[in-house]
Amino acid sequence: MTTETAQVQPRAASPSATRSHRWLNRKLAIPLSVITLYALLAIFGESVAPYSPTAFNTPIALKPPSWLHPFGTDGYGRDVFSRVLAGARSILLLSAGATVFGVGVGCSIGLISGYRGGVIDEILMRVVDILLALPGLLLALLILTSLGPSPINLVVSIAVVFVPKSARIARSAVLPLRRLGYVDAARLRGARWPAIVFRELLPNVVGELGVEACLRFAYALLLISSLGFLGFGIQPPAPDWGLMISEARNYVTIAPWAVLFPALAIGIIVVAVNGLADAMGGKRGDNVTRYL
Amino acid sequence: MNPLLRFILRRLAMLVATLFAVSVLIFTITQLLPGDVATMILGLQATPQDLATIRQQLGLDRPAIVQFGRWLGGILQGDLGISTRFQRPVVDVIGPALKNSAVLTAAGVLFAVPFGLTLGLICAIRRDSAFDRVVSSTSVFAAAMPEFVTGGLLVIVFSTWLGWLPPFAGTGSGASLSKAITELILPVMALSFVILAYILRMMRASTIEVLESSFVKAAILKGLSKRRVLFFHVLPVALGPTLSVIALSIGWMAGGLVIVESLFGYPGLGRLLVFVIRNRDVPLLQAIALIIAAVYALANLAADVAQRLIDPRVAPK
Repeated sequence: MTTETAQVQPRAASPSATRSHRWLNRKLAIPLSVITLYALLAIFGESVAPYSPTAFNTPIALKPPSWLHPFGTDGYGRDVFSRVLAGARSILLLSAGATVFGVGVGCSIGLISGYRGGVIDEILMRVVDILLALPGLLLALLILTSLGPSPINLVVSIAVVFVPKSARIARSAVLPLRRLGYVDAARLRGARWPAIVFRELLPNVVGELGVEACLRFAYALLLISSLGFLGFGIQPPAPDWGLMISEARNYVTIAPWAVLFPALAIGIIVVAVNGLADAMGGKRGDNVTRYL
Repeated sequence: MNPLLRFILRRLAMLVATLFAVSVLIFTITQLLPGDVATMILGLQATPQDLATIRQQLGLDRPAIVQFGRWLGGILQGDLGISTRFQRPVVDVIGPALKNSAVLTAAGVLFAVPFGLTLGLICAIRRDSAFDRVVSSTSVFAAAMPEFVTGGLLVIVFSTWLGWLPPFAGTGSGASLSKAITELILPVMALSFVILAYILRMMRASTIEVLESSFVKAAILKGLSKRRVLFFHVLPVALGPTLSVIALSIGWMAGGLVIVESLFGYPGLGRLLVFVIRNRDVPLLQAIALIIAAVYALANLAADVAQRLIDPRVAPK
């Protein structure tokens, strides 16, 4: 709430940028390769899974990891490895959808609000304040329960959570630009405001909005898996990682693998996406207060 | 009037306005919930007459705006309504759960704040040392993880593999003290790891910034001892931004409670919220959502006041 004045940095490479070039590449390479791996899983995971991710096979329930079942089996005898592979698609697709939708709408509102100012700005920002007065998970939970659980509603409820913060970020990014020469030039040329906002201003803040989208994507993964864990997201018997953890939670002392592997699957991708945002965002610790 | 006092009063007025708006939001969302409250109370076998009577009793036949007015009026008088599921006043149902959640949150703050500040300070002083590298990069992981992932991994390590701590915390604060404490350890860790990491990173970043400032260089060149510079010059300034992160963290915990309490079966407000949503207990749901929003808003207010206290340059907008 307090530290969101996104700064607009000049495009020119600073001396430290060239020095840290190789380090930056490595910082980008690791998260990017992890994310690529997950994207491949999302596309091919279900088809390369050795067993059916949903069919029950109770005689082999709760078997520890072995050559046949590298991640063991869960309480219904389903192969945890196959479920982890098949679960990648839904969480990645839904998170990406929520991010595109939420950040897109939020940034558009923020850009317009910031450029136009006046009464529109005032009203929009008060609505943003109200939406930000609830913790993200609670707001998503309330919206999702009133809409009913379905993949589309899941995307919508998380997008609604993202809109206010993205609007603020975009607005504060565009505020210092709106009185600059090229904007005036466009205005004098007779360009209308949508053209100014989306053709003149947007390209100049696209870097910051990219970092914002990346952070939101990490947060979307967190929210979707949390909602799945609480039982309000993807419904059983679908192989959702959050849901898998809550199903296996009760017998974790007997079969820890059924919790461990989905937990690692979520943990690794969330950390990778955060790492990517960190590498894109430059200054370390800069995004500390973004979530809070 | 004292400008600080005026600032706080202004923010309090804004807080009241925000909470009013949030109550409208919560009321609207919960009104959209599918299902009929009267049928929920009386069951599916109820006669249409009975349903009509109870609707009239509860005022469900009145327009939404009247219902909202009555609900809000009741809250202002301390009456949160009757839980449809428990058939008891909402206040009585929430009381024990609120107490349990407060215990969990307080324990989380007591755990995260001292550790976060100390580790952050050490990392900043020993910058780029092996210690700093390990702790800083671990904090990036910890800050990114969903609570149920951290919690699940903690349970696997400390309950399944080592067998040191119980995997569930179902008894809450009603149990004997030693049992309550051993049960609380894992939920507290799961709840506060994220916050610990945020506090640590903020403390590290702000300490480094202060260490590089010219007044600290001046103090060192003046010949003051390292310890004196650290505790009297660096620490008070570096604490400023961190204080507001601590206040924000308490609000963050209000959201994290839902996950952590569900994971450990801890009988607090968060688990009650999940139960209430499943059972469509609208009065209870409205009350819990409002309490969480109030805690969250107060934490945000405290963050702004803390920042303003420490750094008078931050003028009110």
